[in-house]
Amino acid sequence: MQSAIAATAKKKGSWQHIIRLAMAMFLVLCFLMPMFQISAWKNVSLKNGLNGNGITMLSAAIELDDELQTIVRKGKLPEGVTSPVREAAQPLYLTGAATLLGLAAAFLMFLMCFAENLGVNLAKTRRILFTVLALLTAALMTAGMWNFQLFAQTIRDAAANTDDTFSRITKKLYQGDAVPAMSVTPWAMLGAVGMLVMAALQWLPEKKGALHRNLLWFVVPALTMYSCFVILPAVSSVYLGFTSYDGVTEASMRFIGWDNYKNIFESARFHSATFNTILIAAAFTVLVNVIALAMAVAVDKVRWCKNIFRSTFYLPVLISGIIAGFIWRIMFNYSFGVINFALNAIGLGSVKFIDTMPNALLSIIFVLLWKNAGYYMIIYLAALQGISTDLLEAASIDGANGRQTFRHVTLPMLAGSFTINLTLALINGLKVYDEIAILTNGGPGFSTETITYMVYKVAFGEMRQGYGTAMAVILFIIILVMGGFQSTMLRKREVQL
Amino acid sequence: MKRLIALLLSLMMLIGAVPAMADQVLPSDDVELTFFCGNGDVKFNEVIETLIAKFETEYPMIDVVNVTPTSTSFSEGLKSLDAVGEFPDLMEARDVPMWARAGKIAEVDPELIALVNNPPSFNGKYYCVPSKSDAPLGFFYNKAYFDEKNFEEPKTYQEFLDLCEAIKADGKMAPIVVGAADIWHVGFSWMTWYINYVTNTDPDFVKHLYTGEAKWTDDYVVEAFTKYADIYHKGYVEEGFMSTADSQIASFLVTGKAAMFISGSHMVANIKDADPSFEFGWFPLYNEDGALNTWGGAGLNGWMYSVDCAADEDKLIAAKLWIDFFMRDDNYTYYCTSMSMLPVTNAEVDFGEHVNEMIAVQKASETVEPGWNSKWGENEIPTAFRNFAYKIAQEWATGSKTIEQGLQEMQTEWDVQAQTFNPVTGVGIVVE
Repeated sequence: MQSAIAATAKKKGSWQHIIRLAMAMFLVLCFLMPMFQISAWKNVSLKNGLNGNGITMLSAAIELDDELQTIVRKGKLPEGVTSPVREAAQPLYLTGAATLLGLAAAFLMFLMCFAENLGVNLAKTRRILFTVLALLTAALMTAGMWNFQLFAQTIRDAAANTDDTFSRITKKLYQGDAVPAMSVTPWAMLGAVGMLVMAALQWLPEKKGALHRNLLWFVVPALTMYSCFVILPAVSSVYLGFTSYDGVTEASMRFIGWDNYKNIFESARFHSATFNTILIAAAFTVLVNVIALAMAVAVDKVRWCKNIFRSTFYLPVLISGIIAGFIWRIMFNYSFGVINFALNAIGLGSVKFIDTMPNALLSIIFVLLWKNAGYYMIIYLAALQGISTDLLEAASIDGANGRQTFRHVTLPMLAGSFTINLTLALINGLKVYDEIAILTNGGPGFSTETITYMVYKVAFGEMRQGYGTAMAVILFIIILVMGGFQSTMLRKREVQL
Repeated sequence: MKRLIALLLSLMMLIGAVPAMADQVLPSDDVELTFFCGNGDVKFNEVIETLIAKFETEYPMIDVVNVTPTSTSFSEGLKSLDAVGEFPDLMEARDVPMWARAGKIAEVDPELIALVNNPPSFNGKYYCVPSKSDAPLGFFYNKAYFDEKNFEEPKTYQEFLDLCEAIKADGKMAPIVVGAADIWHVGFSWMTWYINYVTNTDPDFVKHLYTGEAKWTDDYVVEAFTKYADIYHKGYVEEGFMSTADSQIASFLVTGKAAMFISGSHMVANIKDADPSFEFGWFPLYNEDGALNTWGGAGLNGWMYSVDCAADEDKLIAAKLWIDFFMRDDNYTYYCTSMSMLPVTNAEVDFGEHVNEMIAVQKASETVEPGWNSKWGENEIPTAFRNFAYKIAQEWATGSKTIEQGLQEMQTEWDVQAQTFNPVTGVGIVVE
């Protein structure tokens, strides 16, 4: 059985495919970076000299055109005046196109690599297409760099010559002594080089029999939509993690390297949020599955009012996390809450459910269990009802008691549901937000904050988009590692069962 | 005959209304104006809703769409709307310097600025029409209980501590209730101790934090917040403060669960709404030698409109009509009276004894300064820092952090935030 699983795993893809996919993702990132630098460096380009990529330059040139047109309209320059700067700026359209082509090509490469990773054989198409795209992008990028030099020289000449009106205006537009410094953004250059490497890799000999044809082409429409609205925005935001962007002001958009990551790892608040994230995820994953399984078994065996029990257990799932949070916040209230009212009525005194630690954290976990157990119960229930009665009868004939039947027949047959539920519970446990936001607002102080909650608070509440994005990247890595580890372990367990 | 009289009266009213309407420029077509304001206390929401309804009746061609989210703070809500490309047209003005630097809000029409006295400007430009001047913060108390126990309003900080001790010893009710479930409510007490003991020692404390001449861990700061946290640690605050919302504190007072709470003048109306017959008094917090340093004055708070709104002729007209309508004597008097806010116009407002006492106290104060998060220039704090400090204050209150630990964390956080926002050096303010 294990060898069969291993063989299936081998069929799904090889290391070459995974490396290719990772490279394609990186290339998408390389060509996305300049897009963000348009807004970040637009003003820099115009006011303090020139430093940017094709699109940035193009944007600067267009603004310069506009400024000149205004000056012409005001009569300070004669009608129909032609400027060397405007003429020199025209070929910059080519460099803008090079960056855009690079982005489109990288995205196409990513889609093809992804499809191949799922088993679609595109080897021949890939080799030719990747080579053509890489050569075209590199050629356009080279032409762009040459245009940069020409444009820079034109600006320098114009700024150096103060004899005529146009030159004085040009110099004023670039604010005095700012010397135009032309360069293609390192990201776009890296992308162009990376594409050439990627194209070269396609011609290396490939292991035979690693792929198999299937009908996964049907995935393409959904994958395209998912890529456009989820993967691309997510990947593109990685850049923000290296800036001090506050989310609204342009002046805050400065490239600060790894400072955000350094500050995050040194932050006591982040350490506490990481601990809470892992604790909540672990406790939720274990407890919700135990409770859901118990509920499923009970509901499966109950003789009367089966549907009423199912509906009752499932009902909290239909309530949104926000509403559930409000309900329990009112019930947990120290002074007016119904639970403390009842405790006082029987002489036990009030309990600070959400006012102190660790009660606040335990209350959050309790609400999560109350709200979500029904959802996981349904998955277990479906699996329980799918177990063949033949197996249960056979066990019974062999003399197995109820506990033995459950341990040796029912549980192994639920292995698939365990994998799904544990994975889902872990991911959902790592992403908890609503209940914390409403129940405790991350408090008292920062004591019940999780990374997800902190990401939102920092990015939107505290106006630190760059810092928040860096934190989101860390959360992504944590989920990826934990999810991957858990998934691998559970697959092995499924085989053993 | 009756019909004739009614007809004549109607005609007279119409004729009288024509010149007033003719003076106003109205939108050329039906216009929708998205509106955003802070989710304040219950009374504030009620006043704003009343004024919007009245405005829409007077100007039926303008549809005011209130896009204020119900479960998030002002800055989070506005930033989220901006992130999804739905920045509102007309807003209550807060964080004005930041939104002005971001180029999201427009300069206000000079005609509107002329409506108020001493309008504050930012970088020499007017981005908001101020709507209020703040009265001092102070403690509202249960007058009947104080009279019964012969407690007197404290005139020094020690007398205040003695009063708290006496109420605690009496055991009938908690000395103080705090609505710390709302993070912004923490600001009322924070501001009182901060103004009395931090900026009273160094008026340019924030500027000196940027230059490195001051630290959150300096002795006088430690002393200030030790005094602040002692109120909690000595058991003077009602135990469930972390699950008590700002909207609940008035009911704690009127139902005899707590003897006092600290807040702003807007709570006068809230207490009266909670129980019109309840007798209450008010006193400010004096420091050890009986001196007063109070919060107050007009800041960059009021109304502002977006750049997009200003670019749309009809929306701009609608936004200006709202501000003009709001500042009109009848509406503005209603707002100031209901919210117990001091006017920024020449409108005559009859406040009653409590607010008049606050005004007298403000006049008698040695120093009067705006809230630490309402300053701009070299004393402007990073936007993110306010709530960070209030969270630390919560942790002091619950005892989960010592004063020294909290202030050390604040200093570390300040250093991090000052790397990206420093008005003294211009980082994060000037495009580099």
